[in-house]
Amino acid sequence: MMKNLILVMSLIFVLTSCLKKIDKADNLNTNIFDKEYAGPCWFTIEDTYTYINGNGQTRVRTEAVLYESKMPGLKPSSVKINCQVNDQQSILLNVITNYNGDYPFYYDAIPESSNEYCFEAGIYLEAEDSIINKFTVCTQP
Amino acid sequence: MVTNQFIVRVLLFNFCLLSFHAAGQNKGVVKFQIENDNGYFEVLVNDTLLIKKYQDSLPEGNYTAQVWSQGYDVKDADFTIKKDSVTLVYLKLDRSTAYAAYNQSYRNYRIKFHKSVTVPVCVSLGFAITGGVFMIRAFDLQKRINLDIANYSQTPNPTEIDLLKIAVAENNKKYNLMRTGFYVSTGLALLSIATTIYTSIKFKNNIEEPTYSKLSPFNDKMTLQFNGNGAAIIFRIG
Repeated sequence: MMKNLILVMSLIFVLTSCLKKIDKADNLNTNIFDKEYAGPCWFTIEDTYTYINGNGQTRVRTEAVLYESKMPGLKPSSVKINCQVNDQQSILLNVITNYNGDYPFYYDAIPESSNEYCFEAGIYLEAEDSIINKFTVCTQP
Repeated sequence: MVTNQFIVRVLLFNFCLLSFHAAGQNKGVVKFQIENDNGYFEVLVNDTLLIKKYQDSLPEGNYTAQVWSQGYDVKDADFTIKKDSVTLVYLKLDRSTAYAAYNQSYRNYRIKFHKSVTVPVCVSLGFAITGGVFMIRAFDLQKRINLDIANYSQTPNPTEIDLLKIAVAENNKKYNLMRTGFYVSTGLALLSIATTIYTSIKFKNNIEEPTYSKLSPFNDKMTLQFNGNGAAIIFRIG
């Protein structure tokens, strides 16, 4: 009798564990191409530094990388990213994957007196002509 | 008990057959037409000869017969055998009171059996099957949802992402419904199984199946049987 009870309880336990709630289904917001993306900032600021460009102008370059690990499984050869620093002019970059599979990109900003550069980047959707998943990270050179 | 009885057969071979042939010169045939439901009957002629077939040859004379069939009262019949003629004995047997009582009590027994065993078993089976159907559908949906989630994490296409999310949301809703159905059905099935076990044990311990003796009242009588090879006398000891 006790043996049968244990058997029934085990069976219920196994079936319960097999048909458990799918938590991922309620939290489907981890793809950076999803308009409802709710994950952390998808790019990383690698460096911010001041330099003089070929025209002899001083610029503050912010280098960022969209790491391969942040991308979905099927990786495109290029991603369109819209960038802006502070209120300066935004630019649309066609970022190409490098030999590591990462997507490096940068923005050259005009030096500002505050010396704080807030780098904003978003994924550009060509079909909808819209920018999604904008994130801003502030740095100093 | 019949099982404890010994049946002794004494075969009388051809010499006996010859003597019966000789004696059979003044014989007539009796045919029994017995109206009952089961088609079986036994006839005890003159309280000595047990006949279990619908016709037989008997020496001419007057006879008293008792006819019995299972579930019927023994009924008497008188008939006369004339030389080289066929005598038809027609009898309609009456149901015995004991058999009617047995029938009624057996019917009651079966109703109680269905209430205590058949119905709970069917209910348990019904819930178990329903639970099984819910489980199969839930597993199927779970497979689809997991596949869509895997595709979601793979694609860089926003349109495809939207479609996958809609599909996952719809299937997840159905999946949760199936899960609920499965747990409710399984719970009820287990409850029904427990009830079935309880009612079955209770039924087995408290209700006894009514019985009715199939033994013939002529069981202890000697039988004289004739056939093409001879004759046999069967009587019981014990």
